[in-house]
Amino acid sequence: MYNEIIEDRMTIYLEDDLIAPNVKGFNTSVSDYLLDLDVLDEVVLNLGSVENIDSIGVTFVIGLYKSVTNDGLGFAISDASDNVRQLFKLMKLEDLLE
Amino acid sequence: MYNILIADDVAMNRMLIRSILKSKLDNITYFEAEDGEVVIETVKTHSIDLIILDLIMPVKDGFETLQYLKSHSLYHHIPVIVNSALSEITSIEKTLEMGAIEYFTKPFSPDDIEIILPLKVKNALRLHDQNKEIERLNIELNQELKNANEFARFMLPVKSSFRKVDFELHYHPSLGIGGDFIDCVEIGDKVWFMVADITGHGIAAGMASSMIKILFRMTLESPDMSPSELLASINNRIFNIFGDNDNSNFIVFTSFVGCIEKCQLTYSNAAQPYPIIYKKSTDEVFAIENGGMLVGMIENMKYDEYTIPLEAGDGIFVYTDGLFSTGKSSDYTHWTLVKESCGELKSIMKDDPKKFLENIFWKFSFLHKTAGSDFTDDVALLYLSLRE
Repeated sequence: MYNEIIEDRMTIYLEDDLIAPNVKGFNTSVSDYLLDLDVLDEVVLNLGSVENIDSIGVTFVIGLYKSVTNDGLGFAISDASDNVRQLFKLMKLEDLLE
Repeated sequence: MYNILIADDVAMNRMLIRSILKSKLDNITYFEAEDGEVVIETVKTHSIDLIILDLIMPVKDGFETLQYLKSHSLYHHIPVIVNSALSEITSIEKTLEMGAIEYFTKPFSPDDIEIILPLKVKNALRLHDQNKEIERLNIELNQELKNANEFARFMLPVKSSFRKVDFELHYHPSLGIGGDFIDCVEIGDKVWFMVADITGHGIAAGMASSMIKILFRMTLESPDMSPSELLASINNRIFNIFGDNDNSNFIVFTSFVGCIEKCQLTYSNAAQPYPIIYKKSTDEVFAIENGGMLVGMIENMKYDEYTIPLEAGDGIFVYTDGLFSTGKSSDYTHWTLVKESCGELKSIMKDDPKKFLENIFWKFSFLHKTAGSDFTDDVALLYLSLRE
């Protein structure tokens, strides 16, 4: 997992599957990334490398969404595959998809 | 206190091993055997912790004895150290493959006598202790899971005296106890049902599912409750207790809640795979593709509510994603496979719902096995049909 900041937008790239064994590590990294939010206006979660996702992975995405929006920032998901898009549609979260 | 059995047809060799170990190890009782038959008799009558086994013995040789011990469920765990005059690598390889943990060739070297044999015996006894402890814990854990499984089954709805609908269910927890939840209850002219799938599985998810059953039943006590209000109410109760905890949401679940009243299904869906409706009049199946947010994640969540007219003989099939899920993202579109399967099985679905649930369960079990996997998550299936 790594991040890239361009102007006021941070994009977080996941390099591993969004599944239970990886989520704890993702949470730790994300907490570090979001320590200083003053310069940011939006956080984007890039799922381009995510092939597999499970229910714990879904809670990670929603948890991140909650955390970011609670801090007044925008949140979006990018590069999600069609299957992941279907999943977000099931949860009525299509609006988050770029 | 440990029991060590020394098996060798030559009394002098048995005495030598005994004296080596006696000088280095305490709290040992020694047993002796001059052939394989005596070894087997001894393990049947005494609790042996380690066997030092010669290979060339009369009556039953060391290979046959080792084969017997390792294939017997009561004795396979006893560590065996081979001590033989056979020094060819094939003998060493064969006995180690059969399950012996060490191999010494005769005669013992001074280092074997002074250091290596006593230490290897000591390590083998320690390993045996650990294995016995693991086995004990396993038995204890399995008993606990068995108790929990009985409890989980006790929570399933009982097919008793429903006036408006017939229902069948199939429940398959992946770890003896699971986080899938099914309930169905008739209150006045309404039949309420709920299927939920708690994130994760196992004991924690099982504990959560029992809590959800109580919440479901309690919430139904409120007058004029609708499915969307019921989901919203449970969502807030769960969120208030478990939800606002940084990155951890201890209880999060998908859920489908339906209420059948006057030939009409009113429902709300919180991220459950789309249920399937069977319409008797047109003999067709279709999915109801309306979703919603997981329960327990976001405070004050509102859920959409929909209605579908039903007629006598129509059916509703609700299932959890454990049926088709293997953990891959592509799984999330595999509810379409469920819909296709329902189309193929619709004659069984309408005539014999119990058989339908068994058929669809085994069909997906077969698909999992063909793909080299098995059910990795809990599976809950519910089929309701309106009485004629």
